[in-house]
Amino acid sequence: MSTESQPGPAGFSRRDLLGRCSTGFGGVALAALLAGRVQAAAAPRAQRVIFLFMSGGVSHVDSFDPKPELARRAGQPMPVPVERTQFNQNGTIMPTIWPFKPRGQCGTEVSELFPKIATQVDKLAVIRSMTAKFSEHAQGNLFMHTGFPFLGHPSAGAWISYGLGRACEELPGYVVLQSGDAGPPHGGLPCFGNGYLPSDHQGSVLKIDANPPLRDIRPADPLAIQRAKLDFLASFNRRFGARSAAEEAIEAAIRSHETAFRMQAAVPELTDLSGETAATKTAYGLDAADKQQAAYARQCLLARRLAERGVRFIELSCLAYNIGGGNRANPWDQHGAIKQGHAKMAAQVDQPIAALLADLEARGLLDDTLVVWAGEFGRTPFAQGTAGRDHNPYGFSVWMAGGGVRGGTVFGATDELGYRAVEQPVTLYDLWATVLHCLGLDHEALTFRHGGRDMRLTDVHGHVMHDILA
Amino acid sequence: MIRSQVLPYWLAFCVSVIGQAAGGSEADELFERTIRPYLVERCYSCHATHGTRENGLAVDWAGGLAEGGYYGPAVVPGEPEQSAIMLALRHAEDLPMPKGGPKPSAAIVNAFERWIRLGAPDPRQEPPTREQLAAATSWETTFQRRLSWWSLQPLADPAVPAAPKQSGWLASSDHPVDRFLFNRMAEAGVTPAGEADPDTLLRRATLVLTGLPPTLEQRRTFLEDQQPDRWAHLIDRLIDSPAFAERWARHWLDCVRYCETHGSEGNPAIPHAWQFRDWCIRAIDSDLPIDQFFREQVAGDLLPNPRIDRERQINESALGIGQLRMVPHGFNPTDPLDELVTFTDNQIDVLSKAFLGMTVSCARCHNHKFDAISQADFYALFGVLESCRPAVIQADAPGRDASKREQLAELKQQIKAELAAGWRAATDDLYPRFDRALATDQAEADELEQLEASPPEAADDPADKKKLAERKKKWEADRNRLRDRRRARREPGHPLAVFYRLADAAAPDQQAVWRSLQQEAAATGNTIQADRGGLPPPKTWYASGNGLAGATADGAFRVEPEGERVLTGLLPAGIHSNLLVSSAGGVLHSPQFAIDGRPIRMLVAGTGGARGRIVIWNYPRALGLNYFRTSLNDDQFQWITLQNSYFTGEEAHLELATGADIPVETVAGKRSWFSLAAVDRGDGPLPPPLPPAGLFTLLPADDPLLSAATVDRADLAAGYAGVAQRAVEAWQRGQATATDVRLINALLEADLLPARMDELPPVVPLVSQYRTIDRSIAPPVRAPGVHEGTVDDQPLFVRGDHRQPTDRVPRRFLEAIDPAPFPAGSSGRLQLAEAIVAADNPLTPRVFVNRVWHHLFGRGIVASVDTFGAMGEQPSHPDLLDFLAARFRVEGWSLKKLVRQLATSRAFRLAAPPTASAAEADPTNRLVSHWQLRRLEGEAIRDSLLTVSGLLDRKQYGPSAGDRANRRSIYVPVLRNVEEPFLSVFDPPSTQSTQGRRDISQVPAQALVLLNGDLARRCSEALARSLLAEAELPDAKARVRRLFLRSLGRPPTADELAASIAWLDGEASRRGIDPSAAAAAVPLWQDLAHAVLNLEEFIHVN
Repeated sequence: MSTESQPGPAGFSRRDLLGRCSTGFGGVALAALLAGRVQAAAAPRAQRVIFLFMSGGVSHVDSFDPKPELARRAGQPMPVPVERTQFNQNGTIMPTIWPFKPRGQCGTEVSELFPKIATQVDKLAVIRSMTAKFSEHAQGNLFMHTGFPFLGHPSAGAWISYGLGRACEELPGYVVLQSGDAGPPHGGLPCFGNGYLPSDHQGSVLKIDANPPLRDIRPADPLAIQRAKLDFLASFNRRFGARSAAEEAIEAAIRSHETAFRMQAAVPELTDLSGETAATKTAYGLDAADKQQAAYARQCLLARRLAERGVRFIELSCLAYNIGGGNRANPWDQHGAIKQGHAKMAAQVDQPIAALLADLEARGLLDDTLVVWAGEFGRTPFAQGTAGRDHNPYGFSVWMAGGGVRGGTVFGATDELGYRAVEQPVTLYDLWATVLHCLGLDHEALTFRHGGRDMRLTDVHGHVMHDILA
Repeated sequence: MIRSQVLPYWLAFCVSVIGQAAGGSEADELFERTIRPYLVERCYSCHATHGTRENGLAVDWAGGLAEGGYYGPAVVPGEPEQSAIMLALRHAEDLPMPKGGPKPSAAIVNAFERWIRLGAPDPRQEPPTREQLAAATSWETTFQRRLSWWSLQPLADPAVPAAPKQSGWLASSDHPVDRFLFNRMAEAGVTPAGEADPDTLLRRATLVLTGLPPTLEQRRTFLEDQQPDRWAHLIDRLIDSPAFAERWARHWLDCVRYCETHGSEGNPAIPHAWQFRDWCIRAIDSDLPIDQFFREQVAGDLLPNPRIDRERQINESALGIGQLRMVPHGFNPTDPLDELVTFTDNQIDVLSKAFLGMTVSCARCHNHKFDAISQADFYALFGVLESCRPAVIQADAPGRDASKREQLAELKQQIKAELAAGWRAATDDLYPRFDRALATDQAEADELEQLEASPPEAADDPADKKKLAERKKKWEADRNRLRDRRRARREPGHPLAVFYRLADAAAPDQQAVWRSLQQEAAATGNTIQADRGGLPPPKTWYASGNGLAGATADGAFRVEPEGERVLTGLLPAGIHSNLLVSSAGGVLHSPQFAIDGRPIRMLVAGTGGARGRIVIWNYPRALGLNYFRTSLNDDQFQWITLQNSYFTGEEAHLELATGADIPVETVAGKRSWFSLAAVDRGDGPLPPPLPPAGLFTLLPADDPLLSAATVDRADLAAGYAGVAQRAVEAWQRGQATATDVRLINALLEADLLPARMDELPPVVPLVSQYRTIDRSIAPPVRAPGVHEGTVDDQPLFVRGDHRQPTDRVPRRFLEAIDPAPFPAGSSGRLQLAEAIVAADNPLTPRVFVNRVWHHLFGRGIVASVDTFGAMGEQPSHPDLLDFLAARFRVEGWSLKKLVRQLATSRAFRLAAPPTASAAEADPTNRLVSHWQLRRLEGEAIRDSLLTVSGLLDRKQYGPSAGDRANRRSIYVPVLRNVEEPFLSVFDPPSTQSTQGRRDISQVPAQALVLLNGDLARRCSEALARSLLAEAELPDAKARVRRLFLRSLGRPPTADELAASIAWLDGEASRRGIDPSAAAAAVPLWQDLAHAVLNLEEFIHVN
């Protein structure tokens, strides 16, 4: 449904929606600050985050962490003690098949697995010394998202929506995009949960090519009837509010009804790409022959549209090819056939992500949008069996780009085999501390009292990685 | 009221007036009583001379305070406004101190201000030495100081305030609750509101007490009751209704994070989780005393006098421990000790919050930051819980089916006698049976040949790939089974090997074969060769379940529950489940041992998905990756190997369980049993399944066959007849050896002895009777729970790091309440349960009474219902809380009495609008001077929709059913990782931790689910149709009235009626509906009903 040419029954147009979304921002964030909920860490450089979550775990030694030593030791057993692996089918050292070379002005080495993202490398700060604590997907995913390995804690997106406040009333503060067959990662929806934070901040799963894309968003009545009902309701509700001495609460409920009503138009308008140029669509790869790539491209384009509307945290979901153990919940999880599996997965996301970075930059959005690319762990430098790699949380690569980040940098290093982070090892707590810092939030001050404790996204840990900040 | 001799600093939190003591100035007194303890408790950890001195500040001596830090002098004597410490205490600017701690109370702030104004006298004129500082901040000193915290003090027994002089509806009440409340209002000069109107009150009481809106019938009964105590009647009716128990059970489920799956990858079900939910409902319905309710949730399975439900033959108490299992479990964790810590921590977290309002979980890594809870407390409880193992427990009443079991045992004796007689007879006549045995062997050979000639082939349909793989698997299994059987018959250890191998040989070769057999026999031993390798012997293992009754000697057997055969064979010495009843089951689990990496083997048989596995650190899932397990589906004994080198250094136990008794990933619905004959640990080759028992080793040494140069079939028959007779006789006497059993089994398998009923006419009536009784015995009632395992005190983990164990902490309760260690010999759960409800534990009754208050009045006397420690909030009416808690305990811990007491107060019947004085002096209604509108929980909203539309199915209890079953929401499945579309938008409780207070958020998703969601649509349509179907409603006005009565429990006002009719008319004309048809147009009425069900009034309690 396009509301551009034909004003909806409520009488608002696309321009109204965009306007409404962007004006709310200052007030809400200020309100959050005044409420004593957060403390500014520094001047915010970013206003929102796009989280490119690579569920299942990308092999860092095949992508962003060059390890020539692996070729020299190919076929040999690991020369150092190895931690327990998830499948306990440890093979010998397995070099990459994707050559690395220096890219861009900065010369950061990226492998042929991501040739297009490599063209954007001057925008990236690659962190090669990331560590996690769990070798298992569900715990790893929950830990990555919430700082804790089990459900019940707020996701980073929820914390950020809470900390900054909503900038757009008609859209959720934290949106998880899915297209095609994409689904939630292992650990399920609690990865996107609000935990003990107000439920307003939970991740809303937007299935962008489903109808309806958001649960219950399709009006059950013709809009005119719904409008009449809402007006009827409002008058009754006000009477009730007066009678029960709850005018404020009831006014808030009436506003919530109105927001819901407008969301019914805002969401279809958001997913309607008819206004995007053919060039844009092609650049993202919407017309790719590979249907998973086209679906992921659609998410990337939607991510930009959500960024434009001021959504605080936008998370994307990869699609699976069911190769080598990588399935719907963990598409990158190539315990076998990594050559085929990683090649397909990388091809799926490479062009869309590269296009997203370029598009954000072209539209001036990259200055205040922080893009974070990460899986829940990396993969072992030695083979699982002969053709796959097992989970490796002891050292892996993630990257950040955009608002507040110094592009073209490399931070930290793993050992010569890419097994453990040895130089400037950092944790996922440090990653989120840094993200919050870029958003102007102090990760130690962004707390919520729950169950007798002041809870944080970074638990009792976390240091900002100042070296990668602009 | 204060039992402690130590500094009563807690007083400073509650009381704002500090009296002047004799012998010191007011300022000195203030310093010693309030300032010093506060500084030590809250500030020294970051701002001391020898510590980190955050911001350069040291508050541990006068000079340090004067010097101050980054923000300037902390204390300027006489000048509170220039003293930086006041900024911190008042949480001004960006300086909320103590960091992460509770905000200082107004009393504390006032005390500091007064002390500074009086010149801030401070005897600490020198900076403390390290030793002095350490002594002041040692855990012992801190612990003693914290013991004086308000919630740890014994319950007071405050007198009910005297009747007030004021008049008014509330003031004139003689109800103790009203007296306490009014007393405080009078002090604060607040006038309470008056009484709400009857319809509002009826709806309020019904929703608050039962979670359902009042029906028309309930309304009529209430309004027609003209007795002066009609309110009490109403409350009694509500409390006695089944809906009350469902409502209050759901409240409790919030406290114990009720859920039905473990979460994580695979999100496996917690088998029979709903049994715990039903137990809760029944407990509340029967007004089970809450101390017993709590006891059973910790140790219901261990109680010396459990509650037995005779009618259902259930040990009701045992079901209570289900809450211990509502923990999260990881998937195939590489660090199983970390997994153990995670789920045990969760158990401790819930136990301590739900029952005690304390957050013991905070002390996993260090002593509690603010409460009198040490790190040792955490590990004391950890030891109790870690000594128990996740399980599916059986909760049958003791002695269930005892007489049937006796009959079965008796029948089995008779069957055994008849078998022995039949076998003796058969041994006299072996010769013709030889031919049959050889024919069977040949038939199997033919079958094998045929099978090998026709492997399954791919079908054309590629979608058939999976099926093909399955067919192939089955084909291979069949082939291997046949091959193995034929091969086994010819192996030297087989008692009939001589017989088959001679038959295989051509006549001229038979002499040579005979000779080689003699030689082989001479070289073969005759003893079991398993080596336990240090593993605990099976007779020391723990057994639970109605299918296990200790170890048996060689020769036990199971009567086949169906089919032609009386039995499949005799059992070797070992532990065998289901020896009497086929539907029984159980778990056999070993003591804890350390894994050394050598493979562990168990000689087992089993069917129906019985499972043998190695359990590392009590992790209950077993996916066959690193946590090895074998599913048993074969009645033949086999060695199963459990690899474990991956977990070298960890601790484990072995477990055998029948399918339905596996703790997670249960296999239900099939007959299942298992047998354990031997355990082995070693790197060598597998020992043979059972001791060899060839003919030669069985014959007496002087038997002529042993020296015969050659043999014919008559000789063989004679030889076997002799050994068989001896074996059968030994078995009959109960003295069979392993070899005897082996021989008899071989003879049975070869059909040389009869096992079918057609061959044993005398057993037929016995077996038939046996089976009839066996079939009449229902499977045991199963429920989530734990089994007692190896009892161990837990080493404290340094800084919570589970790879750094240090001294063991005796299992015991919280030191602040009762430091006595629990006795050896059991986990201590029983003692823990008793400590939780002990008379000298003031927390439990306070916390519970406060929870009930919270549900009635919308906010607890202690608003932080799960937190009675320093991070929680102070009680608004400490005297009332203690009055209620003391009464509650004295009057038998009755929830129903307590609810009745609170609900019959006038305070519960106050109208919503505050009086002017209340709005002015008490805007947050801490004094409970009027009713506070509150939103219903998601469950109550859904139940209301179903009730008013007439769709509600009032079926109670049983396994959970999805939304579309239209049952009350407490019966909707609660699954981790998965959202229930309707309930999830109305702030559902955490499934991770205790949550005694629901969040109330307002989000557009709620409006969307009610406007556009399926449930609201279904209910509106049903409501509209039922209105239109009611013949006694003559016109639209009557229908609108009925719609309001049903949905909102009140008639519409004149305005509302007019507005509704106008809306109907307007919509009818807008939609072009003929006025004559409008009155009966379903869509029109559905839309009006839908609108009414979307009213805020519908989802609120006023």
